[in-house]
Amino acid sequence: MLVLTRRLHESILIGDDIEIQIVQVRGAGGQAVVRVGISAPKHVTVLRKEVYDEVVAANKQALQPKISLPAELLQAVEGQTGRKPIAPQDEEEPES
Amino acid sequence: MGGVATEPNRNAEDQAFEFPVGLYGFPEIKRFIVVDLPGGGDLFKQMIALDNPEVAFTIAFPFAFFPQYSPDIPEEELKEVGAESAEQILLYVMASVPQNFKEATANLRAPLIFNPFTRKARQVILADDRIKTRERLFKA
Repeated sequence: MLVLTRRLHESILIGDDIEIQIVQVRGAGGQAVVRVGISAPKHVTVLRKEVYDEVVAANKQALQPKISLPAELLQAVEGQTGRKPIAPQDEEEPES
Repeated sequence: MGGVATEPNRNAEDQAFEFPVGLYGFPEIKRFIVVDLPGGGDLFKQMIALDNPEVAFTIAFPFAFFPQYSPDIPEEELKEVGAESAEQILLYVMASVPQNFKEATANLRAPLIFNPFTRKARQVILADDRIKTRERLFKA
């Protein structure tokens, strides 16, 4: 990993169009908080790493080869949403 | 919402959705088919990796469970699936259904958008920090 030292209001450029600027530094040691400003093109996704990790973890947890849903779940769905799930033998509604 | 699932009499390859960048945590899996779940109607469907049926997810239609849910999908994300507006896409969320289904959760933070016209799809992480990755589907 490339490590650079920057002072307040100094920036780092990544490629031609991504700029990362140190906007504020407060506290010291383990309590230090650094506010970072990011300018990037709209198609570049900027995320806190924790959020990304959380989504990866949620996806991995959701991995489920099992194909059937328990009947009780479907009844609970009906109770909660007021929508009756379509019975298994029913045809898919036509494409609009 | 009938346009997302694969009809059994059609060729699965043609009906697959392409995720050009995969799903978060599964970047290498690019093609999924969406199939009806017995009894799932439009509320639950299953998304199965075309090349690896072991990789499958239950997906849920979130607006039936969370009427307040109004994900703000950035225009750039819509463009990635070849859509010009949110009306052209179908939106589902990943559901995590444990043995005790009452504890099932939905990932509202990272919905799946499907464009049934281009057959392209994408998982989008929403900017809003208040939206949870594990929202209970059923109230305790």
